Amino acid sequence: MPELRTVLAAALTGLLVPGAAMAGAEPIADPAAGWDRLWDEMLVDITVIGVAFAAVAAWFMWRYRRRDRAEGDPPRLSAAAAVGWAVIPAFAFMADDFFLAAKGWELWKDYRTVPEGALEVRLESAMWSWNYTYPNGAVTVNELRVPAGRPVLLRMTSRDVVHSHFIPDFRVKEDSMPGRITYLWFYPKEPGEHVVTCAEYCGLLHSRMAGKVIVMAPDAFEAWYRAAGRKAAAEAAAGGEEA
Amino acid sequence: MGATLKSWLFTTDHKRVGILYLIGSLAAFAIAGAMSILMRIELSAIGPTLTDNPQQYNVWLYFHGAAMILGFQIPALTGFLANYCVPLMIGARDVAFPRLNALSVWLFWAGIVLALATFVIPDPPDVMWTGYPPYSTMTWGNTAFYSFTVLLLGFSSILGGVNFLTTVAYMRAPGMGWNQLNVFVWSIVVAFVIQLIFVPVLGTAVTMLLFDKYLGTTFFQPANGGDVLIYQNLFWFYSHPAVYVILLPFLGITYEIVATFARNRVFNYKMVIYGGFGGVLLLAGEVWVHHLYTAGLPDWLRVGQMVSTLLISVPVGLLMIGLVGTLYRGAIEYRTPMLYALGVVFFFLIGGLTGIPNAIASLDLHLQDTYFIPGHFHYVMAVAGTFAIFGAVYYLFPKMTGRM
Repeated sequence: MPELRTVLAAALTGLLVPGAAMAGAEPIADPAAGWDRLWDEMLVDITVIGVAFAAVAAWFMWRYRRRDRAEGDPPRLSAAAAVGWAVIPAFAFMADDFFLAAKGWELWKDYRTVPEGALEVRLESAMWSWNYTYPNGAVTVNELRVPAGRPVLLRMTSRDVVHSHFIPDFRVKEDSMPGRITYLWFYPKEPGEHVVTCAEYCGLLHSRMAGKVIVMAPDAFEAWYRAAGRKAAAEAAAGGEEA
Repeated sequence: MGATLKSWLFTTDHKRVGILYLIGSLAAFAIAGAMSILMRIELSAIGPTLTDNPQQYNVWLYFHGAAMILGFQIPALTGFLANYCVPLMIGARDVAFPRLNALSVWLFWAGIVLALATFVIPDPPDVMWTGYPPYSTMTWGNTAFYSFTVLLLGFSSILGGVNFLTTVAYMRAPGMGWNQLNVFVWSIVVAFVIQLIFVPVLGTAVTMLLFDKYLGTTFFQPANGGDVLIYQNLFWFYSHPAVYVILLPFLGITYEIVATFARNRVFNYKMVIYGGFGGVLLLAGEVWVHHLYTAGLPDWLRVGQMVSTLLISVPVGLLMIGLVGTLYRGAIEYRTPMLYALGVVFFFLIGGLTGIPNAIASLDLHLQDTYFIPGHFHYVMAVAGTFAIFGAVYYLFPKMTGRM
């Protein structure tokens, strides 16, 4: 969670110089970082609106409690005032909406544009496991091993019901379902482990349908990847002989 | 005693029909509320707390969701309050079709009985209140109970819609124009227009579900050329507008309570009706995809509906301005219904504002299916909506019983 100063700075930069935020951006825009940034700005936005509205309501509740008068004395709005009270707030809300929609769309493009050179892994979800297949045929279950510093693209489908591959640390999820292929991508930067969980109810063991994204140092990943590929090839060959 | 009971069960009087709706919906509220308590106790510690049968938990969740929305909120607002208040507010002797009205309350009760029957059958439904296939067509839970409950309550709503739109259109007191209707009457008109447009879509969806599971059709089975996403689209094409079927009447009755106890005129009436209610009606059918931001729909659809979803804040903001503006230069008396109504103002403010992050498609890729979403809609529906209904019950209690 960034400090308030950072939040305000980000919000102000975003407000005043929309281009400035992009100036120092690295070649690959990380959606997770963009998510955190937009979330902070969003909290500022809705907190300001909420506090202002609540303060006015609370003030009215105190100021206009029943004292000497038994009846209210409502203002008589002229036609112009009545229209103004509808149109001006409507445009203020619309301005905020379009501002937020533009920010949301910008981040959306980051989320849905897969960078060049991403590691493409196929995912078939099933009751109740995540089955990953790598380009070289390597197969893992509930364990997605990826190299640090390289974007990862998941192409997903499902064997049975609707599942949703959710990696909270990378701020991304997307449903997988039979008969359709969906995708998501994320950008692991540092070695480490991250939780994967299913976010769409899929039967009795839904809550146990958890896995891990294991981000490895590039060399370590390369070694594992080769070995896993060889193992898969050997198994495929053995399976072929048996058949 | 028997005669009294008979006169109530076979009544066609709109006030009695309203009270029958109230009894049924409060019963649904009590049982569905008990389910939520059971769930919270179950979740209070890791591992089995009350039950070690996960299916039991799913049944609680199914019943809580389905009964709170279909059995409590919608019938309490568009059944009880509409029946009780609308004819009185427009100066009509009764609704336009009193016997049709009795039929809708019977269908509603049949729906409640069918929902309660899930507690005694061996294979209760476990499909939440959404019933997404292919899970709902594969589970051993009895999806038919879900489909028929929805169909019964849906027919009840359609009949109510026909009835109330006719009543308001043709049975207003002589000289009462559309711009003199109470805010609540307008909210019911708009809510029933939404119901009439969208309930048939839900009926279609659950009927297809029923056929898929029990008659071997393949609407939602990709192996035979179906598509699982059709159901999700059809379901939310109704179920998002259904939120407004709840929201508008609960804000409508809150307006009545606030105006009464602030001894004040509704602030900028035409803005509230045409800007607020009209705006919601206009947008109601173009925002359902915000429930499906992570469901793999085309990008243009998700981004387009992000904009329309954000625009909902315009009419809803106008409705809030009207509500708070009604306090301005009032003479506010803090009686029980008013306390509930002011609770609605603040809780709905939180509920509405927490909706904005969810509306942003890219933020929703993380927020979707997390507790942030139940948090948001429970502020709107469970807290603000229930406060409004309870406030209305206190507000109308003297009128219903003759006692203060």
